[in-house]
Amino acid sequence: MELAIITERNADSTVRTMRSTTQPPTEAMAAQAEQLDIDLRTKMDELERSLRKKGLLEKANRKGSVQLWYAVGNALSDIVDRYEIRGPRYRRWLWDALDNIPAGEDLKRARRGRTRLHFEYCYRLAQFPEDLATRMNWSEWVYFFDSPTVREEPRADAWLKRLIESETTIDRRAFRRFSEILNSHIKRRDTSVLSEDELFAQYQAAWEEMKEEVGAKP
Amino acid sequence: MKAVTPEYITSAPVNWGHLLDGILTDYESFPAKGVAHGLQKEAIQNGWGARKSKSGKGWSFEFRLLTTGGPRLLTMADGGTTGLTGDKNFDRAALKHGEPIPDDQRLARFESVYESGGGEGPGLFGRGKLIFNVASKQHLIYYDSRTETGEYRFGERQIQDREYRQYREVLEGKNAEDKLAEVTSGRVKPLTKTGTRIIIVDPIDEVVEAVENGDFLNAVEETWWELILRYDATVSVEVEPSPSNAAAVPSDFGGLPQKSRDGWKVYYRENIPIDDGSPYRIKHLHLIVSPPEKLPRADLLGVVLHRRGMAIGTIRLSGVPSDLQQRLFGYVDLEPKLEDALVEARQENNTHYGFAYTTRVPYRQIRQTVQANFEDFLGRLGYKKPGTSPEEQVKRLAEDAQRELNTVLNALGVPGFGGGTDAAQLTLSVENLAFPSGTNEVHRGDLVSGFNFHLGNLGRKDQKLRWSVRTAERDTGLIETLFGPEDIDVKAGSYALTPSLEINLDGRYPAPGRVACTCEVVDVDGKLKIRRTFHLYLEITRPKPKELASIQLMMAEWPHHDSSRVNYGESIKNLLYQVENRTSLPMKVRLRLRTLWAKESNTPIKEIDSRDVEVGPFQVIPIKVPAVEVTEADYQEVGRDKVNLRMHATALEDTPDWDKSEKLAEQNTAFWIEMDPDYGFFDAIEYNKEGREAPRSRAVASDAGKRWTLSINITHPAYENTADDEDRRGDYIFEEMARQTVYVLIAMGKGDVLARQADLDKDEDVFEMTPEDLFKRVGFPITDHILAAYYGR
Repeated sequence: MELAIITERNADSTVRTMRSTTQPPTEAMAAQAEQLDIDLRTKMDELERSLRKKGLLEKANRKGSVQLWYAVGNALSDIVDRYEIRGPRYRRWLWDALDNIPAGEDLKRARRGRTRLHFEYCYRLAQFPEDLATRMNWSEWVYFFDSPTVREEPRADAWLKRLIESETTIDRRAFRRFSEILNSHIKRRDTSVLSEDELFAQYQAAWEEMKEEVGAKP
Repeated sequence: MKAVTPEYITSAPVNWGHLLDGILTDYESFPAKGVAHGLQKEAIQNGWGARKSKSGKGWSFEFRLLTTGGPRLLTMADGGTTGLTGDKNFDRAALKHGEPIPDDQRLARFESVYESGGGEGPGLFGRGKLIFNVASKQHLIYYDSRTETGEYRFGERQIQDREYRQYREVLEGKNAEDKLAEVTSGRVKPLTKTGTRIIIVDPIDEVVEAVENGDFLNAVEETWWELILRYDATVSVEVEPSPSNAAAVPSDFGGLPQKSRDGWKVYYRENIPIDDGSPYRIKHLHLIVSPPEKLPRADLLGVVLHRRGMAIGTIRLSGVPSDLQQRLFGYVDLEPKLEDALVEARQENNTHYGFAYTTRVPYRQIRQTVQANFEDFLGRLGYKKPGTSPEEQVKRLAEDAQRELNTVLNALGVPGFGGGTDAAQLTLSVENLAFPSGTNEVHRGDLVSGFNFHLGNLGRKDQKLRWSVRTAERDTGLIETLFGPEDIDVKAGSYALTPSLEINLDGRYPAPGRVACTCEVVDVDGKLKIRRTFHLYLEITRPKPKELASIQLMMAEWPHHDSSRVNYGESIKNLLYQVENRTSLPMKVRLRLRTLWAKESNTPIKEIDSRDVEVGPFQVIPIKVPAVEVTEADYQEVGRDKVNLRMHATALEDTPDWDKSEKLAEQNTAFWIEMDPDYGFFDAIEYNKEGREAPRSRAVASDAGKRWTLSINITHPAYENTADDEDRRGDYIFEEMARQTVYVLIAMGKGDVLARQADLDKDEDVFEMTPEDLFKRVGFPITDHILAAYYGR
């Protein structure tokens, strides 16, 4: 894969940092990075305008809403697909670039390290069907994505999709408790050796344990 | 009876050779930076001190390395100076007691020992000029000078053993010119302009290499950039026949901006009092943080105190955030009165590198002032002020102390733990072990058979050894010898196997009981080299093992000797891991070797290797990994930073003792990309509250003694006694670390490192010493050595 992304510019607009899959990047890669940079700025400006029109940004300034971040994730997903940015490492370059362009300021959030990335969470959220994604609050999604045990496990999202489809309602506190139980279950595990069925069985067991625990409470 | 009147001599015989050795050691020891670095520092310092114009107008300095037409010559010439003025036969005997040679008698001062050149330069001791002789293989220098009154002078100085050879009177005029032509075979022409030149005959290899590879010019720029910037001073380095290179302010400084711009963050202050009501002031304090992608070279980092235009040493700062450690640099200039006060307090060490007596004023006040301003800078950069709560303070001080320890040990040449240079040379494993009931729970009459021990020699030398296999029980003692003792010669890179062995659990074996089966390997002197044991639980329930497996990095070829630094384009090669199953069950695992970005919550960077293996009960298997390559494409985001190389073993099957996907073992080895210093002696520092009677600190081993954590008892009276003084507390933590460092080196069996640091004879073995000697000749001296380096900075 040949990919280059401008992640930071100097005050005089010259490139300060360009990440690229080969070092140094070829001329073609650099040209494509410039195009991506232009697209990114345009897209973020447009997105911000359209979200403001819809009134979603007002909510964002208060607490943030799953509809808002789903829309952001959707827009980012388009860019990821169009430029074939495959894999979390290369997406991180994109999120770095977004953090440093003077566009979409209202959509940015304070950095919490290289693993808890706001735009990555938006992107992950947008991989769910909208009607499923919006059935949980943004804070629950963040809680789930923050979990170190699911962060490195791409299949976690597929299981969650199934869960949301099968459950009529997902209580906020119950979901948080489930995340805690899941973390304690798979804290010292490398789930990459498990088949999908085995992995989902682990998740399901944590879900059932949570239900039992919650059900046992008066 | 009248006593005889003995005849007096006025000067004792001197072993000059020893003196030169001492000077060599001083310049080679931390915090000095080697003879080549010291040579340029002393030479320019002398030249600058002799400048005619206070503003430095017309002053210059030129280094030239002549490599053809005879032995190598390094000439070092100043211009725009007074030259070696004064009487060529100045009568030193006429001086009154304690009277120095007058400043205008420059020749006489130059030709004396412990008499500095006087004038306006930063020279203090008059001892540094002997480095010119140190820098010559024959300890021979010539010097010539054109004085401001037009005389041309030539002299020679050679120091060998007890002889200090110097002309009684320098040659002058034609005699001087002829002698210069004779001794340099005409390769060096007499000076035509006012100035002085030192000619080092046959310079030592370190100096030649530094001049040729550019390190010498870098050292000039690092030390003297302030002269170049403020006085427009010209210093050049030339290797004939190539054109000369002029020293410049290092471009890494980004032009030393006085205001933040283009990603450079700047803090600049002038005339800062060092204490309330103090007459002394810091003239300039200039702190700069470079943009993340423009990292200054390592020797330019840190905040450096300058005196009279010369870089002296780095001021220790506390609470430098990790992401600024590779980006922060700056300097501190003092007002002349404060410079003098620092000199009078003897706080500049005698090689002009670093400081002594740092807990005394005025250095201490200078450091505290710089620290306070640095904290102000941090706040402006959006960083939290270094913590002041007791917990945060301890953490910060410990981090500072850890950094200091790493720097000191690195400079003393103590290897880091990750280098693998002292990795065990022998491996021992049991093979083909199978139990009648599937686990090591056995019954009377069972036969455990068909197993062997496997002894591998990973080293480069053949080993003559003796080995045996025995069974024993705690109360019964030795039960039977299954094999040996047998002498064996294991060739380098080879292995040996015992015959197939069996344990017949008959009436000799006490039941219920825990039986140990041990293979022991000793050297020709009977000293234990390696041992491995597995247990049988005869008619009793086996306990669940506490640690199911272990992984050790046994050997690796690092690109830099004794350092865990890896630059872009380099690799760690031929890694040999050892994976041990510590249970009686066969173990199927996936081994994954990955690199992780330490600072960023161990974000995975690259998967280096992944393989599935089966490890038999109590078996140890070798895992070879050809290379861990570090390319810019893979590690570009990391920049200069720490990377963890982690191997972990994940279970591939459920068993009674573990579940599939469980991580059974993990091993981490840190390396640093494009940087040296943070090589890490202690992996972590933690705190305990074990009470007043408990030890002040403990070094706690993990990962089979490969990694160490320092635990500090914060309830000990000695610790509590430092509560009112942050500097003292920092020093206390450092002293505990220094003490424990020696213990760790002993516990790790690093005999060669200990012997080197304790300056033992080559044939002395640390581990053969009496406890008394181990304390007196190893433990105490090394601790003192580390503390001297720390307090002497």
